[in-house]
Amino acid sequence: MSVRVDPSVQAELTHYGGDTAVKCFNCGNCTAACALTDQDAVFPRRYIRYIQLGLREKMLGSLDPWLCYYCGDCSDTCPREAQPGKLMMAGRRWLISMYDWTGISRLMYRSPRWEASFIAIVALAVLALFTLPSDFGYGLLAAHPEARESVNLAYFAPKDVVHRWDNVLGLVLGALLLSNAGRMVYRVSRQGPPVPLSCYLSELGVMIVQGLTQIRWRGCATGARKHWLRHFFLVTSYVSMFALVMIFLHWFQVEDTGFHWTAYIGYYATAVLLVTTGWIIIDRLRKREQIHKESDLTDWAFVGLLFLTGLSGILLHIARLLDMPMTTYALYTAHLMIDVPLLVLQVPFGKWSHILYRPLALYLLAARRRAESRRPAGVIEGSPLPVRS
Amino acid sequence: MSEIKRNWREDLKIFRERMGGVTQERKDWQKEQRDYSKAISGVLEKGARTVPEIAEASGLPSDKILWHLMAMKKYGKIAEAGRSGDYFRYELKGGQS
Amino acid sequence: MAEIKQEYDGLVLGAGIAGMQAALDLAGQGFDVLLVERAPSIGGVMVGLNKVFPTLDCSSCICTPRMAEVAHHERITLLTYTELKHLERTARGFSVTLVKKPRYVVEEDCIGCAKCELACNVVVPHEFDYGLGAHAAVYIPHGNAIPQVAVLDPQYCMFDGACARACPTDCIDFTQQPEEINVQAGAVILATGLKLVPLDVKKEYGGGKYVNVMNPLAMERLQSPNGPYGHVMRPSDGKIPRSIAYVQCAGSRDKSIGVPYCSRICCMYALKQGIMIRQHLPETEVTIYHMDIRAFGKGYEQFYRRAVGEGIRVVKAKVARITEEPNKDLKLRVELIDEGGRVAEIRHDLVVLSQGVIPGWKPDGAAPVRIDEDGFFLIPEMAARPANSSHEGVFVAGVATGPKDIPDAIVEAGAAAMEAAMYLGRSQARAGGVQ
Repeated sequence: MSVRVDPSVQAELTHYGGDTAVKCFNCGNCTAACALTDQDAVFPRRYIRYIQLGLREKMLGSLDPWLCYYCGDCSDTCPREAQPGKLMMAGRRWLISMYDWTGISRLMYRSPRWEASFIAIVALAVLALFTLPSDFGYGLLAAHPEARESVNLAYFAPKDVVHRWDNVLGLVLGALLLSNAGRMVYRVSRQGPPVPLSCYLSELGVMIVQGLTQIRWRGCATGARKHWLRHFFLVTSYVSMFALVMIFLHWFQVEDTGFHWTAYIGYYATAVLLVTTGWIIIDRLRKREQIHKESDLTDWAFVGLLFLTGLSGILLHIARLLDMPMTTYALYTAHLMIDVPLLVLQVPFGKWSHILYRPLALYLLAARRRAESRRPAGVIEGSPLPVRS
Repeated sequence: MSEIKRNWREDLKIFRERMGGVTQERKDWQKEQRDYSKAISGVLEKGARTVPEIAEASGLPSDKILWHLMAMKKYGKIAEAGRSGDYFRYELKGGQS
Repeated sequence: MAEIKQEYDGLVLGAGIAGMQAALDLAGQGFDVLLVERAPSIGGVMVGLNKVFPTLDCSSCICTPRMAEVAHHERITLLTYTELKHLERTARGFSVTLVKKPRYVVEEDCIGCAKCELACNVVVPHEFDYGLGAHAAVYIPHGNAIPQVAVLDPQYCMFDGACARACPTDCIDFTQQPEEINVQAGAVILATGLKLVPLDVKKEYGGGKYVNVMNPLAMERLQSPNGPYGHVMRPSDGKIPRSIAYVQCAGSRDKSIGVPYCSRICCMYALKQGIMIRQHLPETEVTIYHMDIRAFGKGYEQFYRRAVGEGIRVVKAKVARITEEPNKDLKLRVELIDEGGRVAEIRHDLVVLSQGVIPGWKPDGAAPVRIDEDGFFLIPEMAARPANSSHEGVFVAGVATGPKDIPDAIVEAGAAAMEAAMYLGRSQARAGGVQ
């Protein structure tokens, strides 16, 4: 089989933060240094080779970047300082932008200006939503002077309306993310022999467990416990916040200065969100660990907006309890001007899409392995080196 | 040859002072050497043995047994006595076994 | 110890194969040479090697005649156990300050009978055998040492006087102190050789922690007829190894430890050691894990083919990690690139780290020469004058200028001697002209 070398891929990867593939001389140290690699999960070298040769199809159909959690052991010991971990990260960004059919992701990753513009556009759209219509936001407030004396969100952002928009947004983002993930499944299934449906069905558990816990991360050699635990708490935080907003908004959004017990869940979520994202920001500024050394604007936007979401949310809560009506409405607007761009841009087009891609990759790998285990052994494998025991 | 007759006993006293005397470090080193020689000789008195056998019988680590054994072999206290599998056997020199 | 004159034509620093050759080639042209060696014996690394590649000639059989020639040459004065303290340019050449370390043995009186060594009650790890063998606290450096003169290691001495009592020539001298020697030299040749990167420089290989992970020069000693064990055995328990791994580029071509260059000799010595192992132990498997085999010299590629033909396994894989089993076997984690990129952990009895070559000595202000970014002496005109350092009148030879094999080191030594001779000729002519 002939291979057509395409040097443009290496150049392309540099736009996604992967500018070191050219240094790699394919010794394989990275693959063997990684604590997560085994028989058929062999990265990063294989993927770097794809980048060097420009094998787009192979790259698009590869699960390798998703199997890496960037502990940095490979980059620390790479004899060429080719930073394999960073290349895996760039690979993930590249895949996100390739699987996204709208092209928005590609624009955001390749251009900080585009990313800032998109954030600004969505934020302004939210602002417009609060200022332009007469039956919502400041328009609605104008008709209800009493709500300017004392907090009453029913005359600013009625929860039924908000809830309806929540659901619409959720459906749209979910559909976008799922359609992108569908493209991933298609690309991956085109590589290697076909996997029977029964294998997909019997490995569904992997998807659920990894989706909820990302437990595989704990297998990393360096920093795994700290990073995984922090990430896990962060997930519990936004999952509970997601549930409060998407399902239980009726109770969570108290419209006057009253208190409802769902606030306790909100406190937990906010505290964890602020602590973990604040901690991550500090780590990313310190750049001590490999995982924190390479942050581009998309990373900063993600963690920064998460932090600001938590901050504006808790301030909003306090202002409402203190019965500061105008401050409350302003913070409500600000909170959504932060949160909506975060969700709209990061879930289907950005870093947050890993919420689906990572467990999906492990799931597809598990299904493929099951299919392989059913095939007669020794057909594909070369003769292994004898291991004396 | 130089003509000065050295009074080495006096010189040695000064040398010893200058080098910090018989420190604990030196004592420990010599003790280890004695302990290992004694342990090795003790085991080999019963016959030729391999390094793992000496280590097991004496309860001492095999890498240090090997090192001290090789030192004793170099200075003529021990000789090789054939092989047992992947290991050489050693015996006390003089043929006593 | 021969009489030290006030003035020499040439000073050669380092009496390994390159330094000895440079001294012989300079002295052979009628110049008086002072040859200075830091160790108690001359011969450098080469005298401790088992064989040379690709001819498989006995290394010490080539080295020792040179050592003897150096020692007996009427125009060469030998100073062993001596280090350079300072070297600086003067109107007439170089003013050199040397420090002779105390042997605690009077060199001219010692007859090399080793009675002191046999009388001594302490044993000490032997540097010449990389710690695998032992010597007494007072000892003849090794069987091929020149001079055959004892040296006392005060670190382990128990001060019982056994050596002095046993000495038939009354040459043990406890009063010796470091002695400063000042000479003038017309030209200087630096042939300060090599050392290996520290065994523990790559933490993931466990060198220095796992006893069966060893230095390639230690393996040379194990294979040498006068080696510490007399056989190839592994240090943990004396087992005759049945499976030996060579980890190539363990400290060279590795930017992560600051040694980005190729050490040039490792591929060949690994193949050579493998051939020798399989000649003595035909049932022992030898596996060389490499990034690529660099067989660059005359006959080297054929040597590589021969090694493969003799059953040495050459596997393309950079070893990422070594772990120790409870029985002190070692497991190497690699990606088997030629087998479709399979990750495997492969067990071996003994592991040799093909450690990178780094300069054996750094001037640190002691000599007015500049260092290149790789740490070796800077050669300003590499293509035109490869033996000339950055300082006029100072010449360089051997591994001190960069990793190289023995033939290249010898050739370079000849070149340095020739450059030094021409330089001396020019300066003598100038001095004559002034008169």
